[in-house]
Amino acid sequence: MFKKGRRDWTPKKLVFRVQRYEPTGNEKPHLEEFTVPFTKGMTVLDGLIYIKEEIDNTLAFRTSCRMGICGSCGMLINNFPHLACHTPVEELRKDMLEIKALPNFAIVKDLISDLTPLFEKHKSVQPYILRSDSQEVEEPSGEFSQSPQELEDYEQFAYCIKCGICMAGCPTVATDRLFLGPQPLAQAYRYLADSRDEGGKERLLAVDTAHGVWLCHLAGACSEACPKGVDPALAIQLLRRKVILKTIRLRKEKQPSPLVKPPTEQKPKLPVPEFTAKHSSKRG
Amino acid sequence: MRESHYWLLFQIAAVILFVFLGMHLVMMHLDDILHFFGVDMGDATSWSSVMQRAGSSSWLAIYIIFLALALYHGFYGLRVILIELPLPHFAIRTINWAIPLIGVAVFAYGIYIPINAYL
Repeated sequence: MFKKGRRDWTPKKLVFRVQRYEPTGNEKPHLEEFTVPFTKGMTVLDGLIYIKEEIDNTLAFRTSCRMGICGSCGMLINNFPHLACHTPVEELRKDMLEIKALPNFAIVKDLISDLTPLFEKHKSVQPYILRSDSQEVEEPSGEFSQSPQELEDYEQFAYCIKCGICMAGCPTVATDRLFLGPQPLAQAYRYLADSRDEGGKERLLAVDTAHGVWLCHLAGACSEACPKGVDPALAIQLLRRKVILKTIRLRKEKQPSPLVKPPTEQKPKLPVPEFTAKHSSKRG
Repeated sequence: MRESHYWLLFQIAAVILFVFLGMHLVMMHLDDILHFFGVDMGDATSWSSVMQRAGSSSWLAIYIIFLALALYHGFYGLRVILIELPLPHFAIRTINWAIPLIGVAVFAYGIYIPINAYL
């Protein structure tokens, strides 16, 4: 990550300029400075935890897993949306860090953004497998078969952790709050591309609106910001293709994945060696 | 109609407009190119030439299609810009009604002129 000869960046202290906001007070969001000792390998989240534990325990921020999986600690770090736990301060190479709540969302307190609009929009695209045989989904008697190639069609988009960073980076979400945004649109594509899914019609109705898939300006800020490499901008383009092909009925409807027996009831793919079978039958 | 129909029509209109605008540019402003290929259409802006086109049914059809596509493309683009603005819900609904109405009114006025000239 670092260029040769630049490894010696070891400041003794870092200044964290952290956004503070108390919703019950009259003050507008403002920045407050904290001095944090630098330790090798520390992340922005480590610095915030230090502030909360050693300097000011009223500082509010969201965190949980500390390893880029839960998506809780999304915030604006030096004017770029990042996961605080996924951002080593050495990578930023600045003695002064400016940390704010994610833009394009209302602020609950300090660094905590209200992600409710994200979850509402996400819910609107029905981000789950929809099947006509709902009985099988509720009480499964087997598994829906899927080849590794079919998995690859959507796998990249399934890495989304719903951190809201793509929505915070999106310039279209910034101007149009009704725009579905990169996360819900990418997730709509993730399920549309899933060979087990049959919810194409319902999901396309949700995204094929004036504030849906067509409003994306293809700025690509979502893909640049995504900490998991999901590439929502690509998903939106693929989703557009799917919607258009559906509209002009150019593509034949695919049959959803068939039901197969669970692995325990299937014949083993590799034959069990004879001596093992004999040995186990003798024991039995 | 769903948004994808409007969007698809917007794209198709763009492609056809590209052809029509190319025709317009070559005939009206770049007649040297036609001369280079040995085509001489005369002075397209002269009175007799304009009146000759005005009396032609195929030119009338081209004018009407050109106007319809240009208006659709322009007004759809305007609508997309306007509904993206942070406006209240009723304003967006008004835009969604007003834009097609204005478009139809302008189209009616626009085709009145070539039809009148044709007749």
